[in-house]
Amino acid sequence: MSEALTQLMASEHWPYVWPCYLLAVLTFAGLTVRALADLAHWKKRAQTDDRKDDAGA
Amino acid sequence: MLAWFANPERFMRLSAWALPLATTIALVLFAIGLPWALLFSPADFRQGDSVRIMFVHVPAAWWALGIYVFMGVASLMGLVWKHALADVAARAAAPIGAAYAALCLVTGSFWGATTWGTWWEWDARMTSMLVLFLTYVGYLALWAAIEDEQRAARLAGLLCLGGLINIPIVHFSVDWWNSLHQTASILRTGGSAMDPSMLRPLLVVAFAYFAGFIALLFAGMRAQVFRRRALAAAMRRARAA
Repeated sequence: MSEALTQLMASEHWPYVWPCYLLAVLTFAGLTVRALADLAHWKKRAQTDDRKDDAGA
Repeated sequence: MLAWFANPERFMRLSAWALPLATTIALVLFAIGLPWALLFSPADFRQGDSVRIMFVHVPAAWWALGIYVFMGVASLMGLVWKHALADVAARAAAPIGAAYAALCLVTGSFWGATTWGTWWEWDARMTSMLVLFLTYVGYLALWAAIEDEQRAARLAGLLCLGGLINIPIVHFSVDWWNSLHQTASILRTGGSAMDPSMLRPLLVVAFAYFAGFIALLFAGMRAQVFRRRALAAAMRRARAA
């Protein structure tokens, strides 16, 4: 694996290849963080509101 | 069948186990597909190692188109049948599709720089893909700009349906106009022209993108359902006060 990577890094195309893979990983990481933060926020809000409704009833 | 999926409670029960499953499948496929594509697939006899950009570029293009078609179907269901989750699904899919389209444009630019010697050309394929990305951005901007959610859903749905006309243009642009971009080598009549040693890792990464989309879609839809619950509860309390 390290030999394949060393060969690839010596290639003239390497400076164009690695940013694409990094960008793909960062895109999915960014989408995941955003989705999880959004989900956690609204789930907590909905549960808090349910409790408030129960307390009010 | 559609009515069965229209029930938000049923969707929440289904997605509670489908979300971690899709996430796990996506992670496993990425862990296999990306190193396979980067290190163990052969270099192209003409393009050399630059062909490795294809493995992250092509699935992004496929699913940017596929997600838009999904949004079109969901928007139609929302407009015509008032399907309870249709607008939620279309809205949750839009940022994922926009991100895939942006990824496709940027990685395509890198591929163009090393293969054609230019980062950008106002070529039919690239321009129509840029139009697709801008349609995604417009769709999201419309949702953000209109406070009344029902009105926003209707207008965004109409915009989405109008934008569907661009999908065949993106796909067939390389056949209809002279283009720097190569013609289709996988999704074409007569079967794939790609060697299996490259096709297999490409399909693994493409399924990883798809599983990633499903996981992110379910997470986004669940967040929207919780959001609607929270807003409805807040409205109930405001009325009672």
